[in-house]
Amino acid sequence: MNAAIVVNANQNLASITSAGTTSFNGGTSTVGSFGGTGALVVASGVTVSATNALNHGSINSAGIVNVNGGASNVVGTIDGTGVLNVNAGSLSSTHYRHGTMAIASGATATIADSMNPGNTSATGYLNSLSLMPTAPSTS
Amino acid sequence: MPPWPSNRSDTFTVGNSISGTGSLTQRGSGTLVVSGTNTYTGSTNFSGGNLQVASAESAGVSGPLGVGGTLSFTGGTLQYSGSNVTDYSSRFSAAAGQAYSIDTNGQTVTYASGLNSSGGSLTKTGSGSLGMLTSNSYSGGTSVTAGTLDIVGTLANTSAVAVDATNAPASLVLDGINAVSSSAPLTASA
Repeated sequence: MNAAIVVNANQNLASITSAGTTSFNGGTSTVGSFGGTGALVVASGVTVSATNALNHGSINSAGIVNVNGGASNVVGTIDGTGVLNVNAGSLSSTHYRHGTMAIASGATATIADSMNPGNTSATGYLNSLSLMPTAPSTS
Repeated sequence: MPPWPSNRSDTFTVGNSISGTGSLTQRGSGTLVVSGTNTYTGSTNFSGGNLQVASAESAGVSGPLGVGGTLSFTGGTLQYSGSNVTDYSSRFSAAAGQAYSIDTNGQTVTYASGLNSSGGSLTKTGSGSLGMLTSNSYSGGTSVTAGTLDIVGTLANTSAVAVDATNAPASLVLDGINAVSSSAPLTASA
């Protein structure tokens, strides 16, 4: 059977742990942490921010997903035409097939193959990749 | 009518009218189907099994759950039917510890009044959907084991909201802004 969480308006949620499908269809939402093996689906025009952790089976996004924390976030697969901003922490995935990715200074995005050479399932392409330079020292 | 408990493990239908000032209590594990034009004015107590409302409601005049009495939940389930999808939420007890249990049984039901029992909980069973249109302050957990629970208003409780699709498709829909407390964890298990 399928367990589903559907979000149609702005939310500020503590956590979502799901083995099913979580769909964000509207609004701008912040979630403390994502967990579980399920699918995260984000519609166009929708923004979802993960404050502390983003661990999930998959992401398919036409909207904006912000990773704002979490030292070792793991997402199985990342697909879609949207924007993925890794603003802090680190994110690892088997494949990125995504529209735009922006990796902020001090943040890390890892395609699984780079950690596990020979992993033939690891693939990726990005239409746009933005790497933020390290901020100049003010001292 | 004196207080009338139904304590059976099978499905039993009461089609005759129930009247008087007493109360009706459903106990046991079975299903009590009330399909009469009932006018009793006492409370209805959901203490076990299912109590199915199977006749039309005529507000203030008659209905399967009598007229105006408080509906208390201590272990039983209010089960809807194709004959009745009445919003009974304004009659739900707000006494502490209510175990609100609703089986939409394939129907679409909406509640315009809040569920406000301290320590209370909500369990949504059966296919179909239950829409909650306003703010709710019951402080226990929320569980969806089948069908759809649509939060158009808000749940103020900080306890977990769990969607469990082990036995049937189940979903939680958040239609209201900040529909769930920012301290309440959401879980969904397939």
